[in-house]
Amino acid sequence: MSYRIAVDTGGTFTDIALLKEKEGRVKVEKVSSTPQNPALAVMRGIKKIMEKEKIEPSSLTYLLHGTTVATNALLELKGATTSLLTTRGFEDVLEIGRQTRPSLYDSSFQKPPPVVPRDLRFEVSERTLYDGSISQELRFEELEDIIKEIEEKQVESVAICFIHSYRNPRHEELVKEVLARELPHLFVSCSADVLPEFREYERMSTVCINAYVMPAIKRYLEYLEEELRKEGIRSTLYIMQSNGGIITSGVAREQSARTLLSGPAGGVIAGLHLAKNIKNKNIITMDMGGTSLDVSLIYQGDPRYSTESYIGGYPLKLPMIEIHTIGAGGGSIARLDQGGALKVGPESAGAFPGPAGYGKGGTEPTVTDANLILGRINPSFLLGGEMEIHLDKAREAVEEKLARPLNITVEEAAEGILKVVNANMVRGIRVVSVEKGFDPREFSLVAFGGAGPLHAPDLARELGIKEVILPPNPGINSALGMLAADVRRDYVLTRIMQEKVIDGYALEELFDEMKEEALEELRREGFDPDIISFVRSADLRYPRQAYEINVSLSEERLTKDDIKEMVQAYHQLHRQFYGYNREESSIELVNLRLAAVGKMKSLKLEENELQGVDPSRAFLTYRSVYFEGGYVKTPVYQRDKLEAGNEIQGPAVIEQLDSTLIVFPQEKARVDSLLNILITGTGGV
Amino acid sequence: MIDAATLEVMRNALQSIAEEMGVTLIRTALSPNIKDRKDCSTAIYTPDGRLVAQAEHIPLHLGLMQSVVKEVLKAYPREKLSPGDALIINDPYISGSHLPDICIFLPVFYQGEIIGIMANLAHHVDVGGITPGSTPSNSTSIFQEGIRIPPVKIMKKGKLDGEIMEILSRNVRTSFEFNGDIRAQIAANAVGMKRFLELIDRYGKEDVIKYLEELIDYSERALRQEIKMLPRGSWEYTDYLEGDGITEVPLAIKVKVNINEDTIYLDFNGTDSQAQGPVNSTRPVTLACVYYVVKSVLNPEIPSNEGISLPLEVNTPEGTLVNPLYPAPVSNANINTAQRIADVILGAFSKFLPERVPAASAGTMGLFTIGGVDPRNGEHYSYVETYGGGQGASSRGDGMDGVHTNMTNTRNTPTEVIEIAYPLLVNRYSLRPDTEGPGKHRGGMGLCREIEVLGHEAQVTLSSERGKIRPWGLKGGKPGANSLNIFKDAAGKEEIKPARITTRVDSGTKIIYNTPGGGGYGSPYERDPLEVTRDVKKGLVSLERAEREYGVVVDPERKELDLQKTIDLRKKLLKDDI
Repeated sequence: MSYRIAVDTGGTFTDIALLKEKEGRVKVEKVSSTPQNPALAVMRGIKKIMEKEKIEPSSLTYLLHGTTVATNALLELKGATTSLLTTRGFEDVLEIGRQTRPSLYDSSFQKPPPVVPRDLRFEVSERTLYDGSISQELRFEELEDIIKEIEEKQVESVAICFIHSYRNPRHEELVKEVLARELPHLFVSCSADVLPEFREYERMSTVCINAYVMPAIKRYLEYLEEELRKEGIRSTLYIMQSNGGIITSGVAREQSARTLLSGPAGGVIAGLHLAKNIKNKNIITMDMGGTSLDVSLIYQGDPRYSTESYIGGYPLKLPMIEIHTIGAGGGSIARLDQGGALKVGPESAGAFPGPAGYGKGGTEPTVTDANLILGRINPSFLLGGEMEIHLDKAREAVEEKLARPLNITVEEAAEGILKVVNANMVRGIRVVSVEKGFDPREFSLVAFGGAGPLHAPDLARELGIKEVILPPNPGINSALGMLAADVRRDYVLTRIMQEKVIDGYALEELFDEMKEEALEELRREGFDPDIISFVRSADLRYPRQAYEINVSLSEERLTKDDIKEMVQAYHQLHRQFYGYNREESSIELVNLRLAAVGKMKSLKLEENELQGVDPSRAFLTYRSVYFEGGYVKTPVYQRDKLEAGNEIQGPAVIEQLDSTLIVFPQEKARVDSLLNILITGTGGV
Repeated sequence: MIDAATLEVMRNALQSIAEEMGVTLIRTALSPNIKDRKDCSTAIYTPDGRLVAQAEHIPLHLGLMQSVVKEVLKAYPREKLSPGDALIINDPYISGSHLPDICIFLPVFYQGEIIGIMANLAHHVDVGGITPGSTPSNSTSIFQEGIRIPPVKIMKKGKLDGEIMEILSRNVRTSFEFNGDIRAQIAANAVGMKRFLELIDRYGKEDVIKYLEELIDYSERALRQEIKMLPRGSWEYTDYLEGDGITEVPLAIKVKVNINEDTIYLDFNGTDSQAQGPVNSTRPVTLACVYYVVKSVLNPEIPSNEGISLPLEVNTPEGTLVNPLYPAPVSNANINTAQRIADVILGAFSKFLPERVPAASAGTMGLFTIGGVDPRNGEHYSYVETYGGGQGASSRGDGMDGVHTNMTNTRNTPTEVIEIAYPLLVNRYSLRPDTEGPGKHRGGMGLCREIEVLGHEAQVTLSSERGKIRPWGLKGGKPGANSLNIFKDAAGKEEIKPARITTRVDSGTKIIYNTPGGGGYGSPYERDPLEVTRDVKKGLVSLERAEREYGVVVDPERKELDLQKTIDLRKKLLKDDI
């Protein structure tokens, strides 16, 4: 027998998913996270599931891990003491950024402090021009004093970012060599290695973040690998990246910034895997937790990528799965503002004090309180009885803060809360769909997270989506996604070219350069070149625009016709995204992109034989649930007792340990052979 | 019936339409002003031209968007409009700020009647006139500032008017960008219309129209609530522009603010007459400054729409700097005068709300343009950028360093983009140490950029302010540093230039552009000595300045605070002050 284990560290829980490869059966486990040393929870979780399933350490073939070590180091500003070396005249670029203030009208909003403070930023005399030529040679002698200061100030990590280094990285490499020779213990990260793309602030920010989180990641992974060895686990450790692919822990130590925000990416990959097993290849995933909602779109089986992400107010221009986050979750607080509008979020009651109904001291009405009042969440207890619920406190908060001032009933106020939070979430889904030229009616909605399944049917109805899919373990999506992830590394090359000079042969040469680098790096990581395939694309724009659109390229050697097709595809995408195009205009190529993908052994899940439609075996009780202006006696089912093939006519509630599902009147739920619940009749046709 | 939840849902829906229009415009435009700097706004109006929802990227557009549609509809009533017609205008003497700001709007028809209007305003990189960028610092009439477009139909029944486009294209230097940007503006309105009609399909015409009105009431209600909590009384403030680009005679801007029951009266009586040079601020620009200050000081969350203007009465005497008469030049009012008007109103508010108003910020948008023929390809180019400076400190903390403040918030152009796009070399882009206004909370540092002109002669316009009068501090805080413009020729000879200048420069000239710092808040002797030490370590405040301005002694070798010497020095300085 061989096994795969994926471990995802979250703020509250560390999730573990185990795959028995032969049967395709998945087991899941949750343990409390240990923020002081996340590896403790990781090890505890692995040991727990191995003991439970009686697995020998030697039979583990893959170990996959999503970590928040880098994310936390950045968000809590607890990264390494980091220096920046940059071109003379530009040390403040990191601080000036794009010279904008974060809030137009609120002058008390401050920008986050730069990750490298000014006294640790050093300027070096050197200059490369926009065409890659060098106008001033590097003054090596200046490095002596800098090295002395770096030592004195006990700098652990250095970022190097010179102007136009994406075009010619020579000077960055020279400085790196000197630093490696003089201070071998130092972490060094060059901007042209991390992100060889033009626009110096974004590149500088990205490489500084990389340098800032590198030592923490390295220390963490070393510790974890040592612990794994002690347990007799010999499998290579793979780390999840924000591009939805995995990479060896060795690469994660160099390109640490690529692990930022990898958790949500794992969730999208779980959605992607679902798409492979489900008829509709167009999927919108929503992951709704206590404070926020992550939305992502998968079109014809492919996720969408973006290189315009921000984290904690810092730009990070690495390719990531495009995920739109809004401040709407179960803990989002509802309030009346001065003009008399009902607002929900982005303020959240969080885990503490939490919703009023959790009885932990919260007094503000939240989304969860509204769901309790309307009977959608079990008004007595949650988590299978581990957590007591105080319906009276939820009602009190809504009554006092909303219903009384508005002179409406508590139920009407609760409905109002849901109406507003649902509208916020619909807006979030529209951003990734309608506003990008995708019609949500052609998509299925996959709901993850504790609160996702509860709200998904409402959102589907609002957006005209025909089908809602609720996977068997909506609370463990990231770890499940990792089980299905492939190896992925992204490469980029900035070469600004007008349409008339773009020729297939020249592009092939540039791609070949990138491919060679990719193969070399992956070989060094121990991957068989035979499992590696390449995905090629180009960023194009109309001349003098500032934003590019990424266009896919074929894997075959590019001919004249392929170039024509690429240009045509650009015009078409411009129309799709912005509603118009300028076919009479030529285009301009800005970046070439290459993704090297190493296919992992594919994930096959166990199919359950279909049983009858009758769900009565899973029936638990009746409870009053408020639908459209009145309470309705509604059957409650237990999810883990439902069998493949069961059907439930709404209204109904389906409860499971970490989530609650609602089947609205007129809607129908069906359990498929993979134990997903599919809700149809949401109004979409 | 209006309910609180539907009100919020509708506000959300309309705001998201305005924002999506903005995304279309910014991501497809060609002028750096729009695509990089986001000097543009998009909005939705009632059929009679009252603003309902706006996605403004800079506060300056608050006032412009409020009045422009109403004014143009006077010339184009319902019977003169057909479905698919779109109107264009940039004439500041009908409604606007300066000529580069071109507004295009599209009435939305539903079952034969207009049910709403989609509009957007964008700052084009060039609209002709005597200098590249169309913002000369020395024009003496609007005719020197570019082409003036009266309200005309740029689209007729869905078709772009090629003849009008041809006339306009021939009158601008960068017609390629101009054409692309107009297309982007039209596309933005089209997206807005599509979404607005979807909204009507979803909620029904009556409900949507009802909530358009309700949203205006909502903003008005919220603002009146805020005003009711203010102390009643009357306060005034005067500050100065240092010249008009022609002469260097200071020009006074004065405001008196009266707080009444639930309204505010602002009277600009006492402001100097309109100037000969291009610093005259049209009434919409002046109103934008009023709305900005009221919103930012009283409640930043209030949605920007017609409702904000209702509790405010503003007197702008005709023929003055804050409401000039045709054909006075206006091109630089956005850049400098608007910032000073905001300073003056903030100054008046600081007298009764000292805890909520910051000290003066840089006080100029720091315009820097270079134009000429690119020797690499023989084509005309215009580099146009506005620069931030120091933010004023407040009771809540230090001012930010090197940011855009008050009436603008445009992004900078990256050095690598400048060098790819223009025959220019950037030698420095940095903060300016020792330019902060000292205080318990210090003001922000100004910015410095040094640009070298490569292999050609170029025309340069610098339009900044606060070259002589420094941005003021509050509650004992000291003022920020002045702006400073320096030219350095190929031989290395340096020359200090005035705050405003339009001139030709030789190949190899380096232009060193330094923007002002922000004012401080509270006495500098009350500043935490560790904070001062931190600034010294960072190289932002010099050792001498730390002693002189803050009374803080930092050991020059170790860069650590010398606490005993600091205590002694502060005692002595306080005694000297008394």
